[in-house]
Amino acid sequence: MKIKSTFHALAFLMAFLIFSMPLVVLAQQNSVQAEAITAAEQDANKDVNIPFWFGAGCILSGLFFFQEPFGYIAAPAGIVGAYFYRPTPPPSRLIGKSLEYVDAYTSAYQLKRGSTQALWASAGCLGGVLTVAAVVMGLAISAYRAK
Amino acid sequence: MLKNSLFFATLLLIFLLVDVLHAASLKTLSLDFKRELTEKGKTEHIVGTLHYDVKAARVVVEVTEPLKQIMIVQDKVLEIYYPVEQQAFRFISEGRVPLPFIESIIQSTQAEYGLTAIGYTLDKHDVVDQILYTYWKPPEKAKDQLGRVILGMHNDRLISAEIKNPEGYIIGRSRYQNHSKIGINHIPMEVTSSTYGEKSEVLQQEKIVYSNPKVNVEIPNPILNFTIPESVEVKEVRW
Repeated sequence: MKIKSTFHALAFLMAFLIFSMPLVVLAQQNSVQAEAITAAEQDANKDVNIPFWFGAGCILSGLFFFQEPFGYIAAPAGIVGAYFYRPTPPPSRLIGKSLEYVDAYTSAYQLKRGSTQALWASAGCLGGVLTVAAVVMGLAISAYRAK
Repeated sequence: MLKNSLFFATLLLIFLLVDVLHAASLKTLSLDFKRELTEKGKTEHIVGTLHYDVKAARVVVEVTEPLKQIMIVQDKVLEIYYPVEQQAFRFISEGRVPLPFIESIIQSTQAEYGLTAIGYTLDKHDVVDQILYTYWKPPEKAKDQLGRVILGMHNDRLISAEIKNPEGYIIGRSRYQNHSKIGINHIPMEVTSSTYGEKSEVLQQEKIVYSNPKVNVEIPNPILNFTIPESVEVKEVRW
């Protein structure tokens, strides 16, 4: 009877260990991926040259004044270009990192870098349009008052 | 006759001198390294060997700890190979991929840290405790993005570099110690760097200790020509 209960306890323990191992490995992989994604997003934000992309967006807004249809296409095309221009992160960040880390880091970095650049280019574009609109309105008001 | 002898002697001397200068130039460099990186209260240790082929502008980083990894950087391609997992990545970039470690080593051997090449100009200098401090200002067109740089030199060797942002706050500080004469250059065998945040808080600390330098070895290490085996699954990513 005693042997039977010990056998059952050991069998239960073995089953628990066998089934829990993949879960432990999965949890470890998930934590590595989460760490890589966090680091990639922080690095991408740090690496984006905000004044450059905002300025480029401002210039893009000026393209609205070009002849149709180029004027309508140029600004969205520029913003799409800002999204797809993604320089490689410095390789030193990937030295000694695991396969899972490198995979997650590079994918997250690409996405974040592209979206941040496109966001700042859009902000610059909008800022440029608002500035031009304000100048045009100011000129129109002063012309109306002069009449 | 005497004139001819003098001419040949001078010619021979010139050839010898050219040969000596050629021999002194760097062709291959191999260094063992230990890198200690502290970030967000977590420290990681990486051990490996760095191989550099000057002519091919190719760097191979062979990591042995905490895992086995071989990184190959040449021109626009970065390859990372995991020999244990038998898997690899190939990143193909639009522009040139920076060479890990090597660019920092080359910079540290230049008296002006390579600053003049990117448009920096010397603003002033100062000597304190036998250390020559030079203050460099960024090019006018990039002064909204780049800050000033202060370099510390002792016995013609770069011992410190301090980088500021355009607002004048320190964003990075490096110390170069234990210089070793390799070829014609003094290369720092210990480099400690810190990067700072907006509120001067330390974001990252890095210490790299180099050892066992091998320069222009007659039989270059075959790892310098390493290519990922064809049987290995390679994930290719275009940037």
